[in-house]
Amino acid sequence: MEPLILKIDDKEFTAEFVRDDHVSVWINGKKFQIELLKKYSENIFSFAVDQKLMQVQLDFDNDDNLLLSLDGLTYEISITNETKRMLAKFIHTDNGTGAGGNFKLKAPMPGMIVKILVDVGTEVSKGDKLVIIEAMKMENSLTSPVAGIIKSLNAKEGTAVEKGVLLMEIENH
Amino acid sequence: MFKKILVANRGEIAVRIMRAARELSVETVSIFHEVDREMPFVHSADFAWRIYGETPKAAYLDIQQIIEVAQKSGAEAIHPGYGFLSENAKFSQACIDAGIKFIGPKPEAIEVMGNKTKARELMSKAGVPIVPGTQEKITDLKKAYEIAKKLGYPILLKASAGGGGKGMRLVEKEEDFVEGFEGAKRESLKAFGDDSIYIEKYIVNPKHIEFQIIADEHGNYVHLGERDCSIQRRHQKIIEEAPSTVLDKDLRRRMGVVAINAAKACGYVNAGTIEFILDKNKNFYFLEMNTRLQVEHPVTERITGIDLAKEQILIASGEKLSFTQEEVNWRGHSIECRIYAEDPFNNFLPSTGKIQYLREPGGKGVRIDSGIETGCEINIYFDPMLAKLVVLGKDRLEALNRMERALSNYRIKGVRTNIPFLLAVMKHPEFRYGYFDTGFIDHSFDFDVLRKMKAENEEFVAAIAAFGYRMLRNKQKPASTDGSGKIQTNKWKQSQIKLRN
Repeated sequence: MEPLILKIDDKEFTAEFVRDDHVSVWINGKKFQIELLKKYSENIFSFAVDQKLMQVQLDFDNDDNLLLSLDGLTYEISITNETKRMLAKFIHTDNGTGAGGNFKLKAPMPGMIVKILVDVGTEVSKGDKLVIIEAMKMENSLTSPVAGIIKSLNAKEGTAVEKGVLLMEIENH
Repeated sequence: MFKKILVANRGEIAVRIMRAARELSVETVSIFHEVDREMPFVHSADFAWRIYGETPKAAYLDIQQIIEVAQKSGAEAIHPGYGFLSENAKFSQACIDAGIKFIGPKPEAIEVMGNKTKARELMSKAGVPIVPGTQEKITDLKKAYEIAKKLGYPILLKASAGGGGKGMRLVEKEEDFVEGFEGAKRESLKAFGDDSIYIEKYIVNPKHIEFQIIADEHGNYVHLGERDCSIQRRHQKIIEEAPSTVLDKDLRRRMGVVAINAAKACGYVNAGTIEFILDKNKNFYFLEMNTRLQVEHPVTERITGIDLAKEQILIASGEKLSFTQEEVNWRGHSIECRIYAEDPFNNFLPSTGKIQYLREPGGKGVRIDSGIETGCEINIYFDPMLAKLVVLGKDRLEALNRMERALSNYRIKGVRTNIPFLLAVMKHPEFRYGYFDTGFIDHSFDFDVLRKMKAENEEFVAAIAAFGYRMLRNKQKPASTDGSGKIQTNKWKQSQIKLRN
């Protein structure tokens, strides 16, 4: 099996397996022994990693992205390998943050838009407040993760939005 | 004693009250909106009645409908829990009018204490120290601006009808006043249907110390000591403990006397809480009175051995308090953590979804008041608190270590929770030493420790991820298929992945 490249919260790790050894994996050259001790459900498992017990939830999506939750901590992991990475270079896939591309601000939860603090054309810095959204009786400010210019605005004050709905696009500087 | 009571609430507090009632051999009636049909609280009762509303929340706020259900179900009394109708004088009055006992204070006491202006006046007369601020409610921006200027910044804006941090804003400097005032008005209109605001001088980083009082209908008043609720985020309590690390015997006695005077001044009956802020020089000021059972009542129960929910029911049925002030003993140290469905790695945004797996910690000194179980859906309609984890130790150090142990054994899969954050607070040296105030999260807590917590296990995580990928993903998805081999379809998770890229 070709070595895997794992990106965990922006850090890269390589994972290698050896043929016929079903209990070992080498992470950045360091050997770990893993055994699946218990399967609680489709996506919840208890592993022993070098005898250390770890209960995790593994949720894969269609694009080899994995959400792994361990002790209440959630890790966002993308898994690929050299071959796939080469391919991806040729097939441009827009995932919202390409260099010089646009950042798409989506509603992180269902809620009510109570205030929009920017207009199309507004220049924003990283950390600027963009929208105030209310859910579960609390107001939450959404801030800009990038510096740029508001390119389009889809949200309207006083309207309810579902989770994942595009609120605005910000053109990266 | 009552034969049957109705619990006009939901979630963990409804379960808590039903447990108390059952121990008194009182039958319970739950009310539920359709969205809550499968929630544990509904099924903890002896009888369940469906209620309706334009929104789920509206159903639990529908006084008329709830009174009707109480009558039809044969309940003799209603326990309102906290939140919802618990501090609504009209509801308390409507119960009386319908011949149903309201398990709580009289409407007059709720009314006066629920109105910050009247409460301040009354407290002032009763000799209870209060923080400088406005005497009247304000809605006019210009007028408010002038008052704020006169008091001097920083100032605190509060919903005059509110409580629990909703509609509350801190304004540190003049140029932020307009945004703060408008935000406070909006939030308070939303939460309480009243946008009038109350302005007061802000005491920088005080301790939040509150006193539990309890009174029967025969004029007996007892205080059960303090709770320190200084660990707050955006004015919402997160961690509470009793006793406080800063009160000595003398201060506890003095504050206790003031708390009882405050309760007597409004003719209070049943369980209530007098909240104080305590400044660096140990001056204390009346903040507000909560005329209901508090979320954090279990810490008091644990160190006094008194069951507050049971006492509430006994008092409402006309019984005398079974203990005097002299008989109240405090033993050990108790800490409570509120477990919220909020993501501490993403600005504490509420997290929704289905609880896919739940394992609660247990063992010596651990108590959990929970409103969830495996399979139940956490939605946006209600407060994101899932459960309360309460520990008792022989002293504060044992309680801290026990809480740390219990938190790290708490497994909730399906929604993100604030557990990593709570763990980080338990490990924080200033919190451990007991040097903290309401400014702790803003001034002492470094959110970088959360990232470090994650980084510690990264190699293990990589190993599991790679192993899991080979085990689940590779086998099921040969290169030629279209992705139908995906192993699960948890939509909210997928959207979170996309959200964060």
